[in-house]
Amino acid sequence: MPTVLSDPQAIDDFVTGLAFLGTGGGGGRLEDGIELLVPLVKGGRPIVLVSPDELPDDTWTCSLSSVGGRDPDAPPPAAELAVYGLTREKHTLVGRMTEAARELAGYKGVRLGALVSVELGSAATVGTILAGLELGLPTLDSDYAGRAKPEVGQSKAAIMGRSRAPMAFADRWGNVSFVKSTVSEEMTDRLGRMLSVAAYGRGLGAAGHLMQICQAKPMFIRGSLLTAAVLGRALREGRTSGEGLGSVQRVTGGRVLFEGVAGETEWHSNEPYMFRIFSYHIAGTGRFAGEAARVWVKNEHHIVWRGDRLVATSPDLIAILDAETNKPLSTRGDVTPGRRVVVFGMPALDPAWYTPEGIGMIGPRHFGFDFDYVPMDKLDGQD
Amino acid sequence: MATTLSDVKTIEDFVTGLAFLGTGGGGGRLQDGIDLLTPLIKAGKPITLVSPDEVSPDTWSCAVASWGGRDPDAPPPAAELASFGLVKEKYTLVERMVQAARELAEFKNVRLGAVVSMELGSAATVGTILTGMALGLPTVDSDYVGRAIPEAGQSKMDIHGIPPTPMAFVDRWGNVTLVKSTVSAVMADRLGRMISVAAYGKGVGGTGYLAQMKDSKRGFIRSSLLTSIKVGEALRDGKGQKDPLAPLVKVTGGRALFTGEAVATDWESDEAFMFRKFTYRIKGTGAHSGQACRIWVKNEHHVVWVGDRVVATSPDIIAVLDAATNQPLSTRGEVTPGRQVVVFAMKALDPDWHSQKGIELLGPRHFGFDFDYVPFDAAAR
Repeated sequence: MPTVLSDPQAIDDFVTGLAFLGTGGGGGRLEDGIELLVPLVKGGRPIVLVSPDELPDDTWTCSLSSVGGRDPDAPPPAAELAVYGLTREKHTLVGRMTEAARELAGYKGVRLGALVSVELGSAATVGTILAGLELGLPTLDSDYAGRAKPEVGQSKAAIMGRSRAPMAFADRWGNVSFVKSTVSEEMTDRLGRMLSVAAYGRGLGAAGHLMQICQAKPMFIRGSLLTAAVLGRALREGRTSGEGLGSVQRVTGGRVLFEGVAGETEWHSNEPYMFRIFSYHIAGTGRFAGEAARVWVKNEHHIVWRGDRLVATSPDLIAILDAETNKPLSTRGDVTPGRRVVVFGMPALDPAWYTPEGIGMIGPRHFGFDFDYVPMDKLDGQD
Repeated sequence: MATTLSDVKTIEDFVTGLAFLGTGGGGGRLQDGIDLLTPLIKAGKPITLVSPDEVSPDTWSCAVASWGGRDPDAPPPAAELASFGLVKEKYTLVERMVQAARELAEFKNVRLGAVVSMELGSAATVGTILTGMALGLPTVDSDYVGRAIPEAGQSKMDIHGIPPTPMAFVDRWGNVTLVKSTVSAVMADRLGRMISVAAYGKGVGGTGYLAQMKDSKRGFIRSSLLTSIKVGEALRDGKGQKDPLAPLVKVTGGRALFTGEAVATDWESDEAFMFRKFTYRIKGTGAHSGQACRIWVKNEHHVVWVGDRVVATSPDIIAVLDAATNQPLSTRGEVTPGRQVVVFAMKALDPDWHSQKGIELLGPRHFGFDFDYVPFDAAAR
């Protein structure tokens, strides 16, 4: 059954849920997604998300996302850009995603019938929906990750052995490249990121996972966009009713891992246009007073320690919320020193993430840590 | 008329001439090209270069080159490579070029009938010939530049407004990337170079300028491969003679700009996998005793100063030769301190390079210098 989002409240809930499940990343801040969708519904254009079962099996689909990382504070000198003919931006971020979908379909000579968001996140998923409207294509109520993730190759499709390539990449200037085939998903990601460096960042539109729906279905996290809407609503209702995060816990099966005041952000990597890698340090308040937490970030939140004790890691989902408003905070400068925050953990939406392949792909060892994934419940049981 | 190279001496002359016209770059050292071609000749496989006029006007061809820059002294840690699945090299440099030609043809769904060397240079041109042989295709006795160049977008095709894209890039590990369209040829080059960074360098096979002979002819420097043989012969003939450069002067119309001893290489960019950018310092000997010469390099030699005076710039051709052997020296670590060298220059092979557009693409201002191209004949006065 299609899900229809037809008023600003529903949009707000939906994007808030996306930002929560985006675990800090997913291509942008919460407001970015809301600002893009609200004018549409106010203009009488409801957002329709279709179930994969509503479409014929041979419908061609591709996944969309934006690829990028840490943009430098100052843009590159205009003279440097001009050397490469980069004088006028041609495409918005949604425009780049639209172009990437068009280019991939054109390259392989297929006619697309639907779009899939590669991950959940404010900009990634909203961008997919808008690209779909631009192309006259529905967006499916499913994605390939059930969260946001830093690297191109981390998805349920990859867990099931399906490469994301061939991929089409379109940058803001109008340059178009294809990564046709690679030796690994990690290499696909590396190539995409270097194409982003070439374009001086700010996000590339990326299309991949070109498949007919019958092939793609087993790789979907089904109903994940609807889940985002339900979760966003629970966050709002918890705030307005004064219940706090109780309903969010019921909806997600998760719980609060820490509460406190954000301190300085400790950057681990300065490489422009590449990943945002850093740690948040949070000083505990309330029942966590006297304790300190650290959250390790690679575009998204992946590891939480309380003191020296590990309390959660990917593939479990880790969100950071504003303590007053329940608003999910992104890793793009939202967690400012002095802000009161809540760190919340919940299980991944799909059991595929808990297979050895899934944990290998996004667990702590993948990020270079020398410890294993331990389910959140086991870690925090000693409380 | 087709040119056939069937003996080792001709191969050596050919590759020596390519290295000379490669102005220090062109993808490798002189010896690399000789080592690749000689076994073929010895096995009785002659190298045939066809004239563009021998090929039908609707024949598709592409330009073949290798993409790369400064490789770091130490390879990246194996663990880092392994995290990207880069464990086993799949292709030699020539195989990367072969695959890149195949991928480009497949991408545009055309059947190639010939290959063209993007530029003149030991590895670039020899790699193109070997690519052609692997694909069963002739190499045309022409190239798109008449020398070697650091960036895509600096060719006679570009002078005539024909873009290099679409381009195919294949790295040593087997990864394949296609650059479909870009806002400028320089941007296509930048993308190619980033693809090389992604692969940790060592040369990416790159193909572009996919065109039918009737169109590609507009960008050809005609008979430039045959010219290379003549240049190589002249360098050989002069070796050990009283005036070792006399035959070269006769063939090229060029002249020696400076004779001296290499002192140092001042690197100005140590960005791994990108361009080799540095300046040679040479102190004069003999007639140039007491004088100092500098040569600015971006993969190839582009500007020569004697004292403070600019005496030659690209698009003209600047070569650095070993004073004792006449061997053209590449910018890959061959101009070692203490080596006796001759700096030699000649006019670009094609008059298009002296057009306004040609000088814009390859003259000193393109490389960020605030002075104009110095015409070769004017500089002699």
